[in-house]
Amino acid sequence: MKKLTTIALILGLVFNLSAQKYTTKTGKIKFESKTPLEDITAENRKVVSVLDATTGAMEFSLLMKGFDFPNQLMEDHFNESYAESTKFPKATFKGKITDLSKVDFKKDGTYTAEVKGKLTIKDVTKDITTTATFVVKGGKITATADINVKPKDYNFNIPATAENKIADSLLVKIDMDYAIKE
Amino acid sequence: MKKIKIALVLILIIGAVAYFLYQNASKEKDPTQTKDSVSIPVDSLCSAFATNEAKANEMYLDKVIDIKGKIAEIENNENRYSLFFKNQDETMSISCEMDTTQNQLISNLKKGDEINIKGFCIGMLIDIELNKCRIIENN
Repeated sequence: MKKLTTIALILGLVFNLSAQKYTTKTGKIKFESKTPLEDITAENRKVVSVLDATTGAMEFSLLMKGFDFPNQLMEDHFNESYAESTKFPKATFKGKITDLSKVDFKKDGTYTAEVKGKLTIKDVTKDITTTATFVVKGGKITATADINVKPKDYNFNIPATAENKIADSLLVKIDMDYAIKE
Repeated sequence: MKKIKIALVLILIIGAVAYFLYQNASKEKDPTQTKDSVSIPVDSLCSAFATNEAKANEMYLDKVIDIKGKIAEIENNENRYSLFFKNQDETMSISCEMDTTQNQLISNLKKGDEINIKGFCIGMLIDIELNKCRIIENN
């Protein structure tokens, strides 16, 4: 009987610990490029992300070739020339909620908090700070945030002929749907 | 007058060709229209990525992968399907995002069905990811 209680306790502990991690494999990251000549939107629907509710750590990774463009020509230009996706297949972000006390992941509600971290695209790493919104509902978490990314900061090779069709700064919209890691 | 007519016809033809080329280039890539594809068992593709991801990327990234297997999972997000294959010991998955032209066909499928699909390998995160996938119908 004592053994059973111990096992139950350990199981409870393990369950509790694992219950602090939220994951998704179907997060969405969209970017928008707006210029007077052309508006371009591309979406990646298979972003992998982990949110550790105990430490506030957040990690994202995506495949550059997973961005879906309005047409194949744009997608090819992006992958073959600008982003060189075969050479640099992944983009990652590693960061943290800096004011974790503002979010109660155990209680339904809408919270905003600052997220700070490092974004790596094409092997170039830059610091990123943004304000994220967390919606906690029935054990699930949605996290959304916008960031601005300058393609030039990450060595995107945009030729002079395309320069006025691609914005200097891209608006990147992040939309994650986390569930407790089983 | 005749010259103008010829010029007009020429302009029309050039325009039509340019339009056709642009349309073709901007059309979604169709993996079933590519001649060279890599036919590989689910287990081999999984172990290639598990042992050496960089090498597997070199071998399979951008390639059309021709894969046969039992559907381990069917997911639908906002009317876009993903089909999953698992390796023998169920430690790895291949996630195949299907082209939306396949929706009708997929709605008749269920877990456990044997299926043959072709899609572009775009790399690995947790799963090995294929996209723009289409079903190959075997007779």
